Amino acid sequence: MSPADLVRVLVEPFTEPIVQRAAAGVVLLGIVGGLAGCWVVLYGLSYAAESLAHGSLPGMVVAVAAGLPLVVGTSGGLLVAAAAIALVARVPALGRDTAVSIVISTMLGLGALLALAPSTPRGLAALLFGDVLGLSTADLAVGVLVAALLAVLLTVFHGRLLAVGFDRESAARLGVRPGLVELLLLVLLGLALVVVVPALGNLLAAAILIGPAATARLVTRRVPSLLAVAVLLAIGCGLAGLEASYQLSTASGATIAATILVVYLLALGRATLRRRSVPPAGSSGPAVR
Amino acid sequence: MLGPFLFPFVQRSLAEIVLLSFAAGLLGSWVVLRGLAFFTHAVGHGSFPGLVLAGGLGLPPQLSALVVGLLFAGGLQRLSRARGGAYDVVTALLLIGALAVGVILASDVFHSGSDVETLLFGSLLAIGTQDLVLAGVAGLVALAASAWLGQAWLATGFDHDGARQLGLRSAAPDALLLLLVAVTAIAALTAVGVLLVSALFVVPAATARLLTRSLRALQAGAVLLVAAEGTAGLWLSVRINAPPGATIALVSGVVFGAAAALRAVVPLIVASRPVFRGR
Repeated sequence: MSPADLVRVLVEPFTEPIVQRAAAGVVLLGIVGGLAGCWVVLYGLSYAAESLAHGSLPGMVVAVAAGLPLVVGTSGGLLVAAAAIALVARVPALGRDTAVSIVISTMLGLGALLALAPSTPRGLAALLFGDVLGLSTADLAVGVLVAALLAVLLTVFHGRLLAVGFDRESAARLGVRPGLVELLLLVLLGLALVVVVPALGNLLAAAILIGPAATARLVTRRVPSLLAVAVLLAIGCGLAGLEASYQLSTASGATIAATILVVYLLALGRATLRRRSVPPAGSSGPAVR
Repeated sequence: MLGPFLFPFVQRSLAEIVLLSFAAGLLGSWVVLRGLAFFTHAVGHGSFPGLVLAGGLGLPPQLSALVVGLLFAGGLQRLSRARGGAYDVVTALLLIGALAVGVILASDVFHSGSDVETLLFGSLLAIGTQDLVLAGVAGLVALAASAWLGQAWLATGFDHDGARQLGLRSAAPDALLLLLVAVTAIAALTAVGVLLVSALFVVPAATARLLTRSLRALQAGAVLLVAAEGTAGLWLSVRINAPPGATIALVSGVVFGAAAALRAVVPLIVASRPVFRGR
């Protein structure tokens, strides 16, 4: 096969309108997931991100059953799950992980109960594993809005997020309130999930938040370049996953998630090998935390 | 009232839940005390591709889930020790990766169809003899391990350095705890599915933790709660024709909520008790 043929085969999927729409969606997911994901990873919120996505299931099922837009159900589910986790985490003697686990198991149980009830339309699998190829114009519009909002919020609060992430105590002394900043980050995470969950599914959504950001962290430590690398990686993995799912005719959301994981594992392997061959530099401490 | 329990297949489900309650309650207590909730959650998810493979290739599902689940747990421990691989990041990505691989296998290789929902949320009403045997063995192993290693788990959980000074090597019992949680969680997959393992291993023990500070009472309470919530959830699911695993998860969550509310209202229950009496 000549290079021209290869290019033609690779470009072919993107001549179809449905794939073009999905590609536009994936670019938006990449921007949203990459931007929010960096702060999620820097603040050690991976479990929260993964679980909050699970927690929106009952809301999504209710939205489908009531004929409401999925975005509405997802937001509702996320709000309830976040509030419940905040509440349970305040119970003394139980850690945050246990609180998250309790809430998520209950929400998933409720979601499955509602979804598998005889009166609910079938389609639990689409909610759990997403449907990138089924994104509507409204979904894309919401994606553009959220991406813009995230970019603005992250620019405005960049300094404060950095200060609290770097050193909670001295940030407090500088007049930044850590509690408020952490709350803001949860709001940002929720905003990102509202866009990502309907596309990639309840169970796979967190991949595009955590994966590209964690991979970027292995390559660079400065926060501005971290954000840039994460967004580019998220878009790149998304498009590559879309391409692979078209060529291999596999499920699109799962293929994107698998691509993200493979890229992360490759980066982790490379980082480990380099560390073995080069003595660790003294300056390689974490930039944030 | 007892109508559902007159069906032989429901009686088998009941037996499965009661047998599982030993492993889930005893090890669940350690999961809660040692903060292993995310690990437990991840191991359940991690064995999903194993179950899909077993369904597609006609392998025994428990064995296949066990092999894949143990590979997953081992990979997780190995990768999270690599520098630059933060534990929560590696866990989250690997478990999502396992789900993604499982979905691709199910939808595009084996065309497993609606079996996927059964694997995700369990099939407690279709329990085989193998499942019962596995649950019984898991319970016995959990009992023996709790009696034999409980002291070491307690010591390392509270004070790593102190435990080392007492001559306890903290690495081996800890690794064994993770291994046991992984193996017994897999015994629970037929009952509650890969997504709801925490409904048996985390929620009841966390509920018991709210109501007592003594280790013995915590473990006994957790075992009883798993059995009671499982029985109640099973009964309800047959009455309202709902999936049993999901119903049990919901019942356990509601009981936890009630216990947390009770504790907030009646703080006397736990106040002024000594911290862990141990053995």
